[in-house]
Amino acid sequence: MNKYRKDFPMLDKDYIYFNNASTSLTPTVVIDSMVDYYTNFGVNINRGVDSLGYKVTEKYELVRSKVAAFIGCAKGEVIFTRGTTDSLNLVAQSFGNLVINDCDEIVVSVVEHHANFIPWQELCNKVGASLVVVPVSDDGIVKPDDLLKVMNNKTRIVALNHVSNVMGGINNIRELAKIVHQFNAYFVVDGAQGIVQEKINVHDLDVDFYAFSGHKMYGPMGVGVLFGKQELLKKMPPIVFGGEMIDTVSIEKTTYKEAPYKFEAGTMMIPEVLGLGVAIDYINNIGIEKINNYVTELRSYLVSKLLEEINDIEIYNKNIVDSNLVTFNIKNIHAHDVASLLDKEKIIVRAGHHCAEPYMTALNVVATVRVSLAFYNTFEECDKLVEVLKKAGDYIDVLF
Amino acid sequence: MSYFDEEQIHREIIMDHVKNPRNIKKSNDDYKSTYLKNPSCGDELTLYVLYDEENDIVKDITYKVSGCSICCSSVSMMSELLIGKNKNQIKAIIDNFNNMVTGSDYNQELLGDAISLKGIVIVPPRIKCATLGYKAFVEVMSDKCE
Ligand SMILES: Cc1ncc(COP(=O)(O)O)c(C=O)c1O
Repeated sequence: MNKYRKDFPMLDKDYIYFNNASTSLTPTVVIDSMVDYYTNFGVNINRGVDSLGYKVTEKYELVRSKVAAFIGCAKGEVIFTRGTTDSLNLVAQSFGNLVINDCDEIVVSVVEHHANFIPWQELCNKVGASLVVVPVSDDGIVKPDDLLKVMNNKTRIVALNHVSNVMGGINNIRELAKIVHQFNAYFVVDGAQGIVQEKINVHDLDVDFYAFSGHKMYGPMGVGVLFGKQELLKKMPPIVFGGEMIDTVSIEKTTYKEAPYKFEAGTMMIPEVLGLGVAIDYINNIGIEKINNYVTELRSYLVSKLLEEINDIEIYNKNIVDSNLVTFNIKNIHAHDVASLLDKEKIIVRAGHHCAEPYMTALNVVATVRVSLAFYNTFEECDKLVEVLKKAGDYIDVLF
Repeated sequence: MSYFDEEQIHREIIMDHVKNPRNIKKSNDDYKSTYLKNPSCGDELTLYVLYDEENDIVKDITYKVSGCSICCSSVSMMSELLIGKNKNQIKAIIDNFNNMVTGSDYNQELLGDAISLKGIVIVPPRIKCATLGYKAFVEVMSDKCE
């Protein structure tokens, strides 16, 4: 896979980038597509009758079709948003408000990212519903049996990650969806990490909503997607009002466009949407399966090397096979001291609570170090990481 | 003293405070306290200060801290530095500490063991770890003035 390294300008800056679950690096083709927009188009979509605007609108809508093909849904089921966080808030505020009443229950897991936790917590507080937390396995996976135990006829929404950003294990979305629908509840999936981990087909998986971000799949920041089943989107009210999302406006009354347009108010992030389209092409060209086979192999190499060579390491997700990340601590050393030392050696990792404080509390740690890999990472880079950790003494080298 | 001797000494001071934090004890209701956290990393500190207003003297400091070595050692060093001092002396110490970690001129005579953290100036992302204790102290004392 080394041949793809040259596609990423950030990779010739002599850093080792191991924070891909936070945000992935951006290939030149994606950057160029955004520059191309500002250089050769520069106008808004859906407005007026100018031919440039028409061309950009076509390009923008073409990306919607690309996303639809990428995740296996209809074009009209793809809403462009600012990212996963924005997508999940849209579901909670629009759909959530519509279906949740005071006696209802919403189920989330303890390992959710704050983006798939707080919107539901807020909704529950607002309408007086209950937030039910389903436990996860030692590997951070939501087992169908455990979900079954918390489901009942009051459960209206189940919101779970496809892949946890702390543990990296893949939830069996298809099985979980069956259980959710058996209770006539709706299934919202946070796909921020999952979208790069598995080829998906949202209708096959039978999820009601699926949210993801461009910047974790080699695309630009500031753009994301919400997939929603057509019949649900149809019922949902818009939550942001303004230009372009309307059908007719008069002093007495306003009517809105159909989904997905009623959810895209105001000027959208057009260059980023175009960049997302290129990122999808880029992934498709290499092949998502090929990418993940390599990353899984690289990760298992890293895990065994860490376990072999680093004393006092505790890897929290060592039993997971299909993962792109390693979450660990070195005994008696705070995660930030480890990350800071690695930073001094130009190795970039994430340390902290990973926006998953409820799970950190459950693990009984305040923070962990997370190394997350992408297909442009190499075996040599993993060796370097292990070497630096091996040499580390008191972990305060950064100060000297 | 060569750079390497100094480095060795500073390392030892920091690790000594990490392993043997000073002034850990029970507080009581006479202590004023505050809780502070660095949200991005999870460093957490509850600082308890016993201040004698009449005589303008900090009689005691204790704390509960969880965090990285820089945060923990810094709070421990701070507790040693500030106990027994009056408000003016403390203001000078805190100003000097803040100057040291942000790269301005400072008087090292005032800083005791905390001088060992001077390397923070080259790692700006960690300034917030080193200064958490001092921030908490200022917060406790500002309550005092109200
Ligand atoms: C599992 C998960 N959900 C949600 C998010 C939030 O994504 P964004 O910040 O792009 O909105 C992230 C990003 O860290 C994530 O890993």
